Amino acid sequence: MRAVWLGFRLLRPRDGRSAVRIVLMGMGAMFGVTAVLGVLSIPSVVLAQAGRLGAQEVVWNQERGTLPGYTTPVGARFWGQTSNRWIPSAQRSLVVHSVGAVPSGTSIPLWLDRYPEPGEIAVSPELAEHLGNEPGGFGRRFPQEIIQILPDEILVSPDQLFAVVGVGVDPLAPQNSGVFPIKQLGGDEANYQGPGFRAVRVMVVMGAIFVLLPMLVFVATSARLSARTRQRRLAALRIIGMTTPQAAAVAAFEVAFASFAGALAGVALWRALIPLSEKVGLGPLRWFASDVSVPFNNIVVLVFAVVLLSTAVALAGSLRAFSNPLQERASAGPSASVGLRQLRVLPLGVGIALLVWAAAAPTETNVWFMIFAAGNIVVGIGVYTFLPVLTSTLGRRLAKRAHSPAMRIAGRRLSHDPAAAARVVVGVLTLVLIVGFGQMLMVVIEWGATRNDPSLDAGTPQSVSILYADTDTESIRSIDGVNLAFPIVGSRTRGSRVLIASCSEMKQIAAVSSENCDDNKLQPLNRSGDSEAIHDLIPDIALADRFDFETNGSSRPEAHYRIHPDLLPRTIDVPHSWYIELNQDKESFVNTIVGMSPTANIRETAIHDRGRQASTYGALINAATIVALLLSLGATLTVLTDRCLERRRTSNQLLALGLAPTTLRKTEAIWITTPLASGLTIAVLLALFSGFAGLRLTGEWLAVPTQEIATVVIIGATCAASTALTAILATPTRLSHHIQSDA
Amino acid sequence: MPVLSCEGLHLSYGSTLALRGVDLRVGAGESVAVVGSSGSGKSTLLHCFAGLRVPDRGEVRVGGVLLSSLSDRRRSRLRLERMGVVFQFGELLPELTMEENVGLPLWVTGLSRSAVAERVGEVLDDFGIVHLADSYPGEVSGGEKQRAAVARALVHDPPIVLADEPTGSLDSVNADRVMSALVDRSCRYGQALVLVTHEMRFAELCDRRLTILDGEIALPRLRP
Ligand SMILES: Nc1ncnc2c1ncn2[C@@H]1O[C@H](COP(=O)(O)OP(=O)(O)OP(=O)(O)O)[C@@H](O)[C@H]1O
Ligand SMILES: [Mg+2]
Repeated sequence: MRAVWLGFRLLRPRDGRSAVRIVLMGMGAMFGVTAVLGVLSIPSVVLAQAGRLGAQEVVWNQERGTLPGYTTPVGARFWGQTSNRWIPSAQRSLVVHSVGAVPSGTSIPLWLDRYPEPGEIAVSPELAEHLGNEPGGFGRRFPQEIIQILPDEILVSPDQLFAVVGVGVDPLAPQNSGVFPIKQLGGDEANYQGPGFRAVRVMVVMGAIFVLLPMLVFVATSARLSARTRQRRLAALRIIGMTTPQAAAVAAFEVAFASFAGALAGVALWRALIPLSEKVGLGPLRWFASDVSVPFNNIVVLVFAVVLLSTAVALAGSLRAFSNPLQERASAGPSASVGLRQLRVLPLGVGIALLVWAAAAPTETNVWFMIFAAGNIVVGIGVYTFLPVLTSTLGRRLAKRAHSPAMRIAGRRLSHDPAAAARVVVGVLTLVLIVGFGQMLMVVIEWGATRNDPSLDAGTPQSVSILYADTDTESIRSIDGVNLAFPIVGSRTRGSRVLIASCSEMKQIAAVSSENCDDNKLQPLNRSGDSEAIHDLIPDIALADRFDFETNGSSRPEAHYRIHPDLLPRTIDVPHSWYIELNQDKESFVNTIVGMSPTANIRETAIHDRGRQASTYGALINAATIVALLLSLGATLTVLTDRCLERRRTSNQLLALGLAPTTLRKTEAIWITTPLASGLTIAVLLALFSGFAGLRLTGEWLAVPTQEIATVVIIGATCAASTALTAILATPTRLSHHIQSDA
Repeated sequence: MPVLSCEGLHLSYGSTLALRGVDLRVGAGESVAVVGSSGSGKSTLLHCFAGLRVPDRGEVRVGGVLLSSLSDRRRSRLRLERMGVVFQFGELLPELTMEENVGLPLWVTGLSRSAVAERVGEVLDDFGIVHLADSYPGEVSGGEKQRAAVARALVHDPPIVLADEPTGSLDSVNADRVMSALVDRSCRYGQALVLVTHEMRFAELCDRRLTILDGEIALPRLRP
């Protein structure tokens, strides 16, 4: 009890310096806790959003039914269609429910005032803003009259684009395959299958790699601050007769207190950031502040874990003072303990081995990811443990070959206390590892996006297939940017579709084609359809020879046959879909066609999902990299400040001896650049190797990502340079007034 | 029975033999001066007595109890209650005032605040630093710090006092004051005192004087 009291008494800041020390010690805990809480918040947000996504859902009737006279099947109430479309200009999805033929007396979801009639629309606030801001562009999509701005409670995120549109009966025609009978608008939250545990897990694992490592480094370095002061204190207490546990309690109290206060401040900071985060978001990701929550238990556990970790690290650093209260160093350096040294190299070896395994062995993706993630974390820890070995070796070499006092002193310092130099450098190195890892992930994701989005090849005309639109060929052809538009008739379900185009028109689609176009016959295209189905559709017409062609655009018409418009039987008048070639922005075309026909069913392949993934993950990686950057720089700065405080004594002695201030600066410069430069080289190589292993995700050889490599090297070099500069500038080079203040 | 004794102490730092077979017995109330050239092993011997360093060979007994048979905890307790230690580089805690530093052993033992204050007041007065009670070690002179360190060693009236050059940075007047305080006490209260010093005139004050030469007791000589 008295020990705790004494610990508390020793806390009372005697001067600015001791106050700064305590604040510094709390820093790691504070930012560490904030960062971890940020990661822990992800599941709560994702789950809350999933819940509301469920509330927006439409509950369909299981039986599709038909629309004979538009009588709805049993159990269903009315008809509708849902589209979920990625809006590239807004970088997010637009969910639209089109409802029609709603009988009066149908129950209305709580969040809707009434069902919109044809020509009316209810929109989310963000969508309303978009419509208002871009009347000529995006606004063309919904010319309907806005009857309600939907309330926040129903929205997934503050920026969600969501609308309920009223449509007439015609657009719900049977040809529109997207139309279903609706049981109920606004699903049951409980029934909704969330976004999948996997997605959340991936996000949390990623967060852990990006945030956990720098956080551990920050907490650990903070806890090791003022090691010398603590050691002196321990020795004094042991000499007057305090037992080891008592002295440990006193010595640990400061760190425990500082990290506890820091952790609480971290919780407060996280709380304070929540409302801010609603406004800022993360790239394309936005959320409601009210969705962010971490269970109280978890917060308590986290705070105590951080305090425990800090205290343990602090005490482990002072172990020597326990066993040896007279505080001499175990005969200078690691050479004495070869076993310990091997132990220090071990994690790095294991980490590299894991990465080699990830790079070499093709395994099942999930397992692969685990190996890869584990490899990166272990490599990060390995760099931390390996650094002192490197530093002391370099120090000894340096001291041996020294030809200036600065070099000799620096070399001696490095070999005498290798951990001190390692602590200053480790923040920057972790950062390089993480940035490297992140950049390589970016390469993988962007690779995925470009490979799947042919529209990214500029110059080629783009083609779109529309599976349904409540409009006619003439209107489509008159839309701005439409180069060609050909209707396709036929049964989608039975798999025979016929493109309606003459041979001369066909030449406009086909960049390369066989010469045997025949206007007087039904002509099979590259793929063949069901020949019986085609006879049901277009009877008594002779088949020509097959017509092979390549399109100008990126996709071919989804048709099996081609026929001249004049040969088309009068009985077939409704096109099932269109093949459209654009010489312009796809989004602008979609805006117009949706404006003409709200239930238009535009074929969009996985392209958009890929684009979305790239931008979402890209934003996440960037944000995580920034967090890692801040944590690492914070750690480095903290260590440097502390070092400056503790160095004052030796600086004073050396200055009193008559050493020139420039020599002191030079010493500091050599002291820090030696481990920094060599460590940085190792870290960059490791980062690139980890990235190389990561590229296996793509399953093929990619071009060397020079830009990303440059980013890693530049960030690393900049941070290293600023670290070195800070250290050099912060060297105390003036005799302080309180020469004795260290007692 | 001697309150403090050692037999056949051997201790080496790597290849340096600091102690080679030291035998010594100190009775209650006896003061022993240890002299010897620098590096002869005086401090090392004191460390062994205080139980801060474990000899390679030989044994140390405090009040008849073998130090090596005690746990670290018991040894700490012994140091706290029965010994006052002043080291060559007196370690005061910079965060505590002089008064708190001096009172630390009493306070750790569990004495009440007022009892500690009363006792500390007396000792500070004895050593002429009562006016510095509320100063911090960083704010006082080296000699004043050293006096506080001695005061700390004596504040709880330990039966054994181990002092390693406690007057290294004191002027002769103050050094005399501290030394006579140390030696007087050992007479008056029956404290055993082991005093390491370089100055013959202080060694003369003690009951016994012995010289250490390269880790061995060279001239054990009884004072007439
Ligand atoms: N921690 C240590 N590590 C290695 N050698 C040591 C250590 N402490 C002392 N020595 C050596 O042991 C020998 C005895 O040292 P000790 O400190 O006991 O000398 P001393 O008699 O107290 O000297 P002084 O009068 O200068 O204080 C010396 O040769 C010293 O160099
Ligand atoms: Mg000595």
